[in-house]
Formats: sequence, C-alpha cells, structure tokens
Amino acid sequence: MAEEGKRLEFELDDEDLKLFSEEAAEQIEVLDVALVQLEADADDELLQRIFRAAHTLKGSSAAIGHKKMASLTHAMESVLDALRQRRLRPSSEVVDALLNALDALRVLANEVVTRQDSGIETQSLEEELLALLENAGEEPANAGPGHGDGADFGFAAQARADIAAHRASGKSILAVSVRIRDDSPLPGIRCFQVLQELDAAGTVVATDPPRQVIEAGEADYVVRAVVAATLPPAQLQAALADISEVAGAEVREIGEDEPLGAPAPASEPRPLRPGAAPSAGEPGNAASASRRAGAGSIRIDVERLDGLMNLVGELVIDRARLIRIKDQLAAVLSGSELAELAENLEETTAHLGRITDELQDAIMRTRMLPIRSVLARLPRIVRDVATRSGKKVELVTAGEETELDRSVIEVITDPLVHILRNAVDHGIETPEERRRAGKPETGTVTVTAWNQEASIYISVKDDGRGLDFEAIRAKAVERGLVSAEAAAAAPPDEVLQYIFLPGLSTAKQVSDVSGRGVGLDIVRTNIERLNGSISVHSERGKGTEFIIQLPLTLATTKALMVVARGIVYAIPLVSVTETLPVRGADIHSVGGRRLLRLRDALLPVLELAAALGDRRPAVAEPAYIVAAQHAGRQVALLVDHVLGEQDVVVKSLGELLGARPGIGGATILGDGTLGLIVDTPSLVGGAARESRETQLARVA
Amino acid sequence: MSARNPAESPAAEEHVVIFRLDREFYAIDIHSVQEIVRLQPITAIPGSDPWVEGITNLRGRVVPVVDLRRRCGIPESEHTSETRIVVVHCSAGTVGLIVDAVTEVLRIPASAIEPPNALSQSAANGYLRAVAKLPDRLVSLVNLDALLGLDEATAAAVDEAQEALDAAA
Repeated sequence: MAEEGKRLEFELDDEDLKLFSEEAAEQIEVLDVALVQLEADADDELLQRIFRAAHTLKGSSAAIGHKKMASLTHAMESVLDALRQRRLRPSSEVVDALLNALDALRVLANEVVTRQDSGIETQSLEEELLALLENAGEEPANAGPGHGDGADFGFAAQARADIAAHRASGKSILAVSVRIRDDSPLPGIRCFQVLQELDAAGTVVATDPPRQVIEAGEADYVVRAVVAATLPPAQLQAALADISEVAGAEVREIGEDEPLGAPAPASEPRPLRPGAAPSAGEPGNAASASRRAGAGSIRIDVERLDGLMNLVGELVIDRARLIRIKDQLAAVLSGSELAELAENLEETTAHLGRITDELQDAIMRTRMLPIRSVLARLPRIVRDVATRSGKKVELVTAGEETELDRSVIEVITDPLVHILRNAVDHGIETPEERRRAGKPETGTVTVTAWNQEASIYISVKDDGRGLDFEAIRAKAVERGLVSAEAAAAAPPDEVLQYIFLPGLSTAKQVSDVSGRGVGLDIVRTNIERLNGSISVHSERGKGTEFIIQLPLTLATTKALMVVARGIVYAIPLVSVTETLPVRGADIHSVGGRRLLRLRDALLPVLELAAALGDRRPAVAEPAYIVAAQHAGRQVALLVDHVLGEQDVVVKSLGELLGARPGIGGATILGDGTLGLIVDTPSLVGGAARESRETQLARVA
Repeated sequence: MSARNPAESPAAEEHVVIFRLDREFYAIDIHSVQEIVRLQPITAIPGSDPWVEGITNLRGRVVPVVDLRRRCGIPESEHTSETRIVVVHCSAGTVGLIVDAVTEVLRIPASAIEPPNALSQSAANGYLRAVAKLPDRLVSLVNLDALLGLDEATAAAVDEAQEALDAAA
C-alpha cells in the first residue's frame, strides 16, 4: 500500500509549507499535552480544545491534499466527538489509541516537509479508533454545539421589539440556518461570508453565534440567524447555498405566532468510514487563514527578533565607544570654555545609556517565553516510559512561569527529556521493589524550574533507588575509564562525575526506553557548549537529583575581560572561579610542569596566550592568574592583566577561520576593536589531556 | 565565477578592481568586491594559518582578514598609507584582503584576456584564472575561491583541531 520513500506531492508552496508545518506542530503539541490530561480530568473545556485541535489538523491536511493525514485525523475526530458528547469514557485504552494516532500524525506531518512517503501504516490505527466507537453510546438527537435544537435564541427584549417593528413595516421575518461543510478548512471565513450575504439581504436582527464572533472569523460550522427582509425565502436560500463549502442552507419565514427558533441545519451525511476522505478545500489558504493569534498579540519571525537583538547589541557597543569619546573629550576640554560641551555630552550619553539598557531589556523580554511549553510535554513522556517499563510514576512540575530566552528553550528540551526518561526508567523502582522498601508504590518525579541571577535552573528529582556508587566504580574500571586504584580512592562526589563519562551505563538491563548510557556524556557536552552546567546529587535508596543550569540567553554572555600578549580575551564568567595576582601566588615546579597551590587544590598553570597557540613573543611578564574550571577540573591561566567584567555579544569567527580549539568566537570591544572569546571547556580539557600524558610519560 | 565568464558575457568585457602587490598587478571581478577600506585595527587569532592576519570589525560584523603578500608567498613589507583592505565575497563568506594599493576600476575587453601561461610567474599557484594584457602592463585575474579555499593541509589541520575540541568537550 504505502511505498516507503516514494515522492509525495502536496498542493502548497514554500510559504504555505512553513505555515502548515508551524500550525501542525502547534496543534500536535496541543493534542499531546491535552490527551494525557484527559485521563485525569476530562472537563468540557479540555475536550473542546482537543476536538478543535484535531479538527484544525483535519482541515489543514485536507486542504493541502494529504489524504492519509486527513483520514486519520477524521477518525480521531470521530472518537473525540463521542468523548465530547459523553458517549465514550476517556479510558486508558481510548487515550492510548489517540496517542498512537497522534504519533503517526507527527510522522505524516513531517512527510509534508520531506515530501517522502514515510511508509507509515495508518489503516490499523483508524480501525482501532473506530472500534472504540462501537462501545460508544448512541449519538443523542441534539448533541454537540451547532446541532440546532430549535430552541429560542434567548433574544433580548430589544430584539423582540425590533422584530415587531420590522413586521409592522411590512418586512418578513426569516429564520436562517446554514451549515458549513465538515471538511472546510476555513469555516470561520465561510460563516463570515454567510453573515455578509444576510446583511445584503436585509436587516440581521440576531445571530447565533453572536455577530462579533462571526466577524472575528471565529465561528464554527453553523450559523443561525433571524433576518428581516423583503425578498422571498427561496431566493435567500439559493444565495446562501452558492457560498463555497456550504453544506446546507435553510431559510423559512416565521409567522407572527411562531417561536423565534431556527430550523435545525441541514447537514451532510457523515461518512461512515474514514476511507471516505474529505475532499480538499482550497489549497494553500487553509494554513494562512488559520494563523490567527490571540487578540492583542502578534507572531513575529524569530529571525526578525534576532536581527533586532543584533542591532541592539551593536548599539550597546556604540554606547560604550561614545562613553570613551566623552571621557577623552572631557579630559581635553577640562578647564576650557568648552568644558560645558563635554558635560552636555555626558548627560546625553547617560540618557542614551539608560534608553539602550531599557531597549535591550525590552527586546530580551520579547524573546523570553515561560518554560511552560517545555514542561507541558513531559507528562506524555513520563506516561510512555512508565507504561513501557512497568513503573507507577507521578510527575510533579513547578515553576512553569519561569521565563527564558527562546534560544535556550530550543536547546534545553533534549537534555531535559533525556534526564527525565532516565529518572523514570532507571531511577524509580518497580512498584514491588518500592513496596518492599517501604515506599509508596507510585514514585514521584519532580521537575522544577527557577531563575537565579542570570541563569535558569531546572531540577529533575526522583524518589527512586538512588545511584549505586559501587556499581558506578566497578563499571568505570571495567570500561577502562579509570584505574582500579583511582576508582577506589575517589570520593563519592568524584564517582558521581563518572556517570558523565562516555560509554558508562549502570542500568543492569538495557531498555529500549533510555538506551544504554550513551547520552549523559552528550547531554553534558551540549549543555557546556552553551556555557551551562549539569550537576547530580544522589542518595542510596532516597533518590537522585539532576540540576541543569543554563544562561538566560545565548545572545550575550557575562565574561571576565583579560589581556594576554596584546590581545583582549573574554573568559565566560561561569567558568571563572577566582583571580589573583601572580606575585605571592604559590606556584611550584613539579616534573617540568608548573602547578599552582590554591588552598587544598593543585592547578596546572597555563599561559593563556601560549595555550591558545600564540607563537609571538610575550610582551610582558604575566601579572595575574585566572582560575577557570570546567566539569570539576580547574586550571590556572596566566594573563598580562585583568580588565574587568563585561556583557559580551558572541559573534562567530566566520567560515574561513572555522572552529579553533580554545576560541569560541569574537566580540566587539568598547573601542570598536575585537576581542576573542575563550572556550573554557576545550582549554581545560586540553590541559587535562596534557597532564594525563605527562603522567603516562613519567610512568613509562 | 562561471556566471561572469567573459566568453558568455554579451558585453565581452570584464569589470574589475585592480590592486597591486609588490610590483605585480591583480584584478578581482568587481561583483565580488563589497568595499575597499583603509587599514584598520586587526585582532590576531592565535594558532591560525600564518597568512591569516586576524579578524576586524567591519561595522559590527566580524570579518577575517588575509595578508595577500603572505598568502602569495611575496616577502612582507611595511604597510603604507596606500595599504588597503579589499572586502570580498567568496565561498568562505566575507573576507578582507590586505593589498599594497588599489589602483583602479577598469573594464577589460575579452580580447585582451588570455589563459595564464609562462608569462606569469605565479600561474602555477592555481589561483590565477587568466592574464589580461593591458597596453602598459600585465594584470593577473584572480580566482578568489582558489585563493582563499582551504588547501588540503589546512583542511586537515582544521579537522584535527575540531577533533581535539570534541575530545576535550
């Protein structure tokens, strides 16, 4: 049936594709979050939200001619409709079927991007969904919104008076009911067209939904109205039926003594099988029309925000230059008649400075999003992993309001998910083990986010079995990662660090859920690339906590500015532990290498410029030491002098130069020249490697 | 490059920027040239190739700068008031080239352009794509991508650096 890899054609251009993908991702996300909530609490509002998301997906996939996706969403929609009408209970069987279908939808939505048939099989998923409906109760005669029930509109007294007045002036009062086709990707627009037609025909006395809703394009699939008009009902009915995607229109004159109801809308017969795919609407328009943001907010392309951010970054730099010029000018003009000019300039630069700060802050904030969207994805993941590994796990999240830059949101998800999976799969014990240990059967995983200074912290804490230090020691030795002596002598804190070594896994069984220990090392690498850190605490039998720390934004970073051989370097502040003068420092020469004794630690001493490969002769004797750390390893960096702390905008060195060990990029300094950003992890890693080699050389 | 191939050009001429290195003249397609600026502060990059002078701040953009004398194996000399940075676009992005002087912008008729031959002493370097015979002198037409492209040794060094970085991280 499905031919994997077959090229697929969809009816959309690149712009539509982007819109479709964005919208599909958004609706799938909504479903992902909401479906898991269903089991716990199936309130009407939630059901309505789920139904709308599925419905939107059906509409947009039909619009681009993605029949498989439209057909599957249609089957989902049928089940959701039954849930909404309380004909079906959201049992875990139902939720499972819906989640499975949702996973398939993800793949199908991606087909639009790749234009390749993924070969995914949806027939059985659809059958599974429809089988659920067999257990569902009968469809109530008047269920669901939009199924006209002939009830009074609940008109205000004013409307009744209006109707009486219109009647008196010789107009006939018409009850109108229009139903838009189920598969219309743009029901809101169609409803609006209906309203326009009615306005043209006469005076619209009342509508359901209210006029404002229809005018906002937010109406659903049915419009009912009472119109005072002079034209015959049949003529209006024909005009309404001519509107695209109208499934049925009914217009009837209401006699003076009749209740002010409207007839039940003529509806299209529901397709019984999902195979009867809805016909495509107008290709391309669906996605763009449904790109409605909430009132008072707009969507902005991230690239534009990045552009703004870059511009402000340059403004910040110019301000710094202006302040220097002002200082120079003040020095030159001091005491002269023009000294007042320098003062004026000072006031202006101060004001410009404040405005720039506020602007930077404001733009920064537009890029900030609450972490809620990331945390909202977690219940699904916990549910999946717990189900597959036979655990009972409750997920508690806190700090949903914590805001962080969207660049950080993009990178935080993967590590967080990885650690969470580990916590459920390896951390939490089976219900039986927990019972034996005197713990409640259901384990708890708590994910908490908070801001502290310029960082965001996320903690993933479980009340599981805790890490087995002896097993980690043994495994590290077995894998040849550390020597038996070193492992035996290592204090618990150091042993904990072993879990971040490549190729170490302590899980006795390799599960298909969190894999085999590959990962924690990659997780750490990725976090540290972003100037973040990850730490772990664990207590046997009580549980394990991972804490991820990341800067609030990746666009700027706080750095210590130093000079070495005439070049200004920015050392990210997260890695700087302290600075001290060389004079009086406790430096020893051991085996041809210099070591700094700093309290109870011995740090290898590196001359920063030389370590980075600067082959030019030194211009001055280094006067300062910057102690920098990475992953628990410290080095002492010799620099000529220290300039102070600064916010730096990180810029790439460009393609010609590419990535260089030890140098993470460039930044523009206050005088307009460029400084280099030190990549502490590679520098410290290099030093550690060198020290191992030296040790080996000594042994040999 | 191919889009500007003189053989295909209906105008049958090349519009070029001519610069001088030592006593030789070179030409770059004017469409590759973004701008020409006076020598400005350049920050050295430790451990980079010797012909890379460093990076400079071009109105907020970080642009790598190449010393063309060193790149072309011409002995170094002091920078003068005529020294310029020619900012060009090539496959490696925007790059600044330090040249001794920018002499003129010229339209060279295709009839005056010949493939490089023994006349040019640097032809063997591969970055000269043609030679233009002007009435008063010879001008070498530069293939920027070949001039700035990474040769194999450099590419290997970059790979090695990347591996060291990965291993360290």
